[in-house]
Amino acid sequence: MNSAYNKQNSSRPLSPHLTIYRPQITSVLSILHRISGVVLFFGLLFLLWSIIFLIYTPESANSWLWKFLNSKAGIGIIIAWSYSLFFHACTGIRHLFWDIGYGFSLKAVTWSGWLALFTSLTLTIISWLAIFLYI
Amino acid sequence: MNCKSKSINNRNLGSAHNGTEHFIQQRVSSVMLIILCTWLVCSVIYISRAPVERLTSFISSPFHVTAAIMFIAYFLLHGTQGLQVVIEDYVHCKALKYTMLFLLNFVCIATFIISVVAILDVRTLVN
Repeated sequence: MNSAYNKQNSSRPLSPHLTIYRPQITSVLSILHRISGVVLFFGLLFLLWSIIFLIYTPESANSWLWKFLNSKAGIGIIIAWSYSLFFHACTGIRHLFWDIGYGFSLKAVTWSGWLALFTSLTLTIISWLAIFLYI
Repeated sequence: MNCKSKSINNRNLGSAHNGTEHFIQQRVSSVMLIILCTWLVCSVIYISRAPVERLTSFISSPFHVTAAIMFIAYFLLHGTQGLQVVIEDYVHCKALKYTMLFLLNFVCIATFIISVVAILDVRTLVN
């Protein structure tokens, strides 16, 4: 009975019909929050294991990993990781406000969504300007 | 037609009675991570492209070492819990799901311990 039920249902379309659904700030931020969380986790694992590898490698400044991390691609990956950090933090604060019962109106979810997006971009730009301009 | 499902089909599929703790733990770690990420961003700006003396004094400071280890601990805890939810949501094959959850747990603990060992090794090297 169970297998017949599954066979019947597996060919049916899934409920949020993503291919024809108009993207909205709420739904897009919701899935991006989850995606940025996954990116952050694997990004931190990569960064931590890179640092650990570099610590225990003699002459680590000559290693391929050090050269990669200092290349444009490596710095680009770190900037992308930092953007997902700020993004996940800003949308996470939005989630915390929902958890204590604030900001549920349609107007509020829309403006807080745009605010989170704008704040995360601003924080990323300010931080990297601080790093590149700070001597 | 019999609308009732057999109880054997429903047994052990319902609530595991630990969802609330998971939910609360995730919120607590997220609040901690707001504080610790602020520390992380400020520290990275402070020590990146800095003279070596600033870096060594940073590493030998007990405050910063504690903050670094706490950041790694809370990040791995929060990330593991988040990834657990993602795996439970999207991986429906039971064998694969539990293998992934097992690996996730292993990677989290292993990464935490080797990070702490590496931080302490760097400290002894600097001192």
